[in-house]
Amino acid sequence: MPAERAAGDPTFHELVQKQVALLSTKGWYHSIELPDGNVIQGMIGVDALKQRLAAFPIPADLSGKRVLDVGAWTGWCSFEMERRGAQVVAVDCIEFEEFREAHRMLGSQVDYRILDVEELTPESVGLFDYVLFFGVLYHLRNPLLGLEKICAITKDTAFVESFVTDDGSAPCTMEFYETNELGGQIDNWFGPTVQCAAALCRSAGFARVHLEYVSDRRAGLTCRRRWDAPPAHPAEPAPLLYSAVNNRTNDIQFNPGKDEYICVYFRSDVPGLTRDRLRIEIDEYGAPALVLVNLRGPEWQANLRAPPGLAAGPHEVRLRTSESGYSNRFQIWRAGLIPRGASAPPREPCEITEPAPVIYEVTNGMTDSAIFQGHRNEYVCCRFRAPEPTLDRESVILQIDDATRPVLFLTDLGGGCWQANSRLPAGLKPGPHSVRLRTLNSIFSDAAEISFRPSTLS
Amino acid sequence: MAFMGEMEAAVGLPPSTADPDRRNLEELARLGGYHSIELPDGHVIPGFHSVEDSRRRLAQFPVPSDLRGKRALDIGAWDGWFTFELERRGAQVMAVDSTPIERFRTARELLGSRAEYRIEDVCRLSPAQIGTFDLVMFLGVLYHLKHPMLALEKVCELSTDMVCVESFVTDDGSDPTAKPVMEFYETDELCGQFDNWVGPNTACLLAMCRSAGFARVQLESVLDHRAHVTCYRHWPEIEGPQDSAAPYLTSVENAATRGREFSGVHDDYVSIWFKSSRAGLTAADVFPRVGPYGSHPVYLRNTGEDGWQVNCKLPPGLAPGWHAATVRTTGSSWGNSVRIGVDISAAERRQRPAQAEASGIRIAIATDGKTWERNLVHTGLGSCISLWVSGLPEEAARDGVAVWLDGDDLPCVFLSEPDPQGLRQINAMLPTGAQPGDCSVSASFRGTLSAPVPVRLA
Repeated sequence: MPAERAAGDPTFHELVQKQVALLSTKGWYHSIELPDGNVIQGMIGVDALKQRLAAFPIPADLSGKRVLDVGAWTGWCSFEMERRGAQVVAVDCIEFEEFREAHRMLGSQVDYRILDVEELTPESVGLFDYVLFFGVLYHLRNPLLGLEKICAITKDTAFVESFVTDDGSAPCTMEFYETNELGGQIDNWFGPTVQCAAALCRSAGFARVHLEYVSDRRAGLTCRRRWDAPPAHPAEPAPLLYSAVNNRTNDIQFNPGKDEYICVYFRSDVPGLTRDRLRIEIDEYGAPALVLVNLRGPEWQANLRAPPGLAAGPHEVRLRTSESGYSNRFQIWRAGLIPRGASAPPREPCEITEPAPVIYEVTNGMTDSAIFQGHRNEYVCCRFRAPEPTLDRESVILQIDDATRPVLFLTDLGGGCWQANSRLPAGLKPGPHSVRLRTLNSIFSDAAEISFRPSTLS
Repeated sequence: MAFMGEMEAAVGLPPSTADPDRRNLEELARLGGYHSIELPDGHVIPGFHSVEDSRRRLAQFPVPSDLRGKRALDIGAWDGWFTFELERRGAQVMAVDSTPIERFRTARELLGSRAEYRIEDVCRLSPAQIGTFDLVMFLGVLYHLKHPMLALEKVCELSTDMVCVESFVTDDGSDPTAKPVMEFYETDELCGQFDNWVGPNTACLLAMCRSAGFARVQLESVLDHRAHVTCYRHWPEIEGPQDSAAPYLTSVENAATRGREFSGVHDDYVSIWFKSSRAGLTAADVFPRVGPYGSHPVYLRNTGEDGWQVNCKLPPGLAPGWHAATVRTTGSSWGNSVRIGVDISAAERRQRPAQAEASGIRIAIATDGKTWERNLVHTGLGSCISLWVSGLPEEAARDGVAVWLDGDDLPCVFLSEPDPQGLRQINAMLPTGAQPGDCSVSASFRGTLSAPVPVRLA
């Protein structure tokens, strides 16, 4: 530990005594305890700093953990995290000479970086087990963007401390400070209510947000990226996940930089399921549902934002209820590696080993009838039975009027039933049209009929 | 409430779900579109909003009836009524939406429109990608965004003159002194639609528009919880007689670093020090300008007698390079200008503009303005340089004289009469945050420049 290395060294002691005399007059923000027991008195006393930290469930032993201290100021929290054994990165938007002085005096190994919150990315600073985000949120012009950046570099838990405008009873709003309305300081932008601060943390992508305290217009929130452990003895059946698709394109690809949502379709026999009982997960990260809608009977739809920080490539979605085990997994892609669905070439048919699939229903995804009007978001939803235990969308060939159409997604409905979605081709003539499909190892099914009745101009 | 009828956000949920306003969704599905569109032959493609609705909405803004030669951008174009109307008025129009709307393409074809159509999220638009626009329409989009300030800054950056902002607001706009507050919608609290994120009150919407970097912001109307705000990038032309003397700028600094360097990427503010013969100035009397754009004062203080300091945001969208900062007051013409470098390299910052040298102006002595040390200036608060020069024309007065410190021009704050040796004293203020190091200093008068002399900044 750095403190032990420096303690007892007479040269270091002399240096510290000089610095204490010099720095005590400088107006430090955090007080800093030196290894010899001397304290540089800052605006905030050591007791107050300890008390604030103790309000959060931060482990006493942080050996082997990476910790980020955002808005480190003169660095008390950074040095405390280092004392607990963590590898620490401290970040501030402007450089404090006091931080560097304390760093030298303590013989600290903390990595000190000058970056804005919006510049924090997995590429620029890496990922952290724990992130301290104390006293920064209300200084940001885009508070939710800042929290998204924090969430994207947090692997486990972020501890958020902020100015708030109420004691927790006010509705979910934030005040906007155009100039120096708050405390005469020009760098305060938003003052959230306690409820709003918690909602912002959840919306940023944290799975669980717990309010630790509210006092003197400050709130402490513990924000976790993972759900609690599933029950050892599930009291409810696990849901069956049909699909997880981009709300704009109905495709399995999504672009984290865009304002897209993931629609999750699933079956659950739990009656009266509510949003707060749903545990959706993408890879190991929990993702709270923004809305949960009962479609009919046991069929449900939940909409969510993809958690920030997912790398390009495949990711697995699964879900459970608070009282159930996990469902099957469904793969989605962060854009960048595979071409969009429409241009993904179907594989060549192989040896015919399987019987033809049986189409039992073809519907318009908007209306659940077999009539299509040419509206956008009209998907051809083709439900069929096939005996093959595993299928993916490249292994299903779907044709409309004998012309192959891309399968935008394929989902396992359970019990040998599948659903393949496609779109109508452009320039379709009004009237009846045929839909049929095969797998790579089967011959074509019998055709099912749909009807195209484009909406006409008045 | 009236906004319950707005179906902009309906794309994520199929109409068969338990939407609270299912009737409107069904009506939208039946009509097939959002805007009604008039065809040249008199036919109307029916939409959720009548042509009269759209006309009334546009009429809330002072959009000129003749837009020939102008470039216009329609963000959130939907079926394109505003796009096609601006085109009809003569503008070259680009329409942008977050998802492709088939009806836009159909209507464009039927109308023979040449409007360019792009699919992009507003926060990903940039001048580098799509250029800049005389007129930007930003209607019905703001409250769908998670980062409203970021979006307004992007919109400001894309505009060179005027932006029409229309947004849902939580009040009726009747109290202009209301505290600026914004509701935050974590899920589907607003109209059961999950992609509504924020609901500002009218005061908050106006404050956010101002903070985005516009010179001035005008509330036009609030109708049925929709506020119409016109944002301008320029100050109005000076009206009436110019009854005040132009202000005289003495120094310009980056409000945070106190140097002369500025970044178009960060949220930088400009501090301008000036002298004004007009007593009792208020923020409403002061009109700062950087490059072509006005920027409203966020802070004004009297620094003693006729001295003032005004802070404003560095206007978004300035190209990298040198820009002139200046200011005028109510009833005055523009003051002298001081150049600032935006996103330029250290090497570029040392370069003076091409000016005729060997004009006969010669620096005899260069000293610190307080200690009279030769060829040395102490930096920091109140840092000042004094030159004794020969060869200034007899008619030379303070207002045409400046000191160049490498590439930074420092206005003359004092010019003496010639002493017995014919030397005149020039005093100028250094930026408080000027970095120590070696530099070269010249005196200039109306575009002619003395030979440089070396000066060390300490």
